[in-house]
Amino acid sequence: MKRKLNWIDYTIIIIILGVLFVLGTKVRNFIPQKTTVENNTQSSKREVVLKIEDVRKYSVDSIKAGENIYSDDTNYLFGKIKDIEIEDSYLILVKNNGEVVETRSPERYNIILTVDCNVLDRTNGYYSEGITEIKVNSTGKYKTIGLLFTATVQSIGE
Amino acid sequence: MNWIRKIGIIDIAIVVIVLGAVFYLVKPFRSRADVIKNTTPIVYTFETKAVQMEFINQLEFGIDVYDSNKNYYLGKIKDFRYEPYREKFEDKEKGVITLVEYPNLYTALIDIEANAQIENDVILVDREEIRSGLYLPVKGKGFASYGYIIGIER
Repeated sequence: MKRKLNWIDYTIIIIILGVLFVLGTKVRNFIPQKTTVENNTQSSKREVVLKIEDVRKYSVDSIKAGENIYSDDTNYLFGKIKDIEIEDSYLILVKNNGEVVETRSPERYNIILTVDCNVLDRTNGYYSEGITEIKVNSTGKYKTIGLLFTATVQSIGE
Repeated sequence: MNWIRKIGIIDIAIVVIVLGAVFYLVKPFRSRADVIKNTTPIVYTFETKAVQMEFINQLEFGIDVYDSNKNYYLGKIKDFRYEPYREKFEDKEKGVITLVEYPNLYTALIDIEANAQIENDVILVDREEIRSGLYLPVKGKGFASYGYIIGIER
């Protein structure tokens, strides 16, 4: 005698199918999809410039050349810091008379990082280590061993 | 043997899901035992802003500090100090930005010492990744606050 399925059984089947669908989607995202386009991609060393804006002295002191940078979003290696440049931070201020002035942001600095990246050049973009997308003007969260920071991509070298 | 026939595919699926859930829940607790190995003592500075003197009065040397969201152990207070709390002020007459002191509010700087696992570019205290710029909710015996880690000595 076969047992008749009731509404609880149907609910469980739907939940299981839902879980399998979600897992399937995740797995598919991790498996590299081989296409004819990807076969033509090339990996090359490029200098990527990141800018960290208007941060305090402790951020300046917490980052060093030679350290690895990781994307905080993907948790994968982004590149290695080749050079660090520090400059004073200035902000735009509109005075009461309507005049626009650039004024020093007190005790704040900009950090410009030149990062050596292993960049995969695909038709739809550049990817550091083939994973983390690099786009000029995009802002992302990054981390080194000693610092968690937000930075904007300034340029991608040739 | 009749009972075997009664086990449907749904029953098996439920058992698999329950076992999966149990494994998922148990895994983090099991890995905690490995944390003790190969630790290095570090001291890091936690900064919390705009607190009152009552908060400062609760700070004591040697008090245990925890992440108040995850309950991870963050270390012991080694030292602390405080300075007037300052906030940016835009002077639109002169066109400058200055830092002005707020009365009766303070910035507390707390040095916390802990044993950390340092590997693969990660400084790990308990299960918390310690980095300058990390925003943390902390709690001690008689205090709780939010703030940033602003320096690590290692």
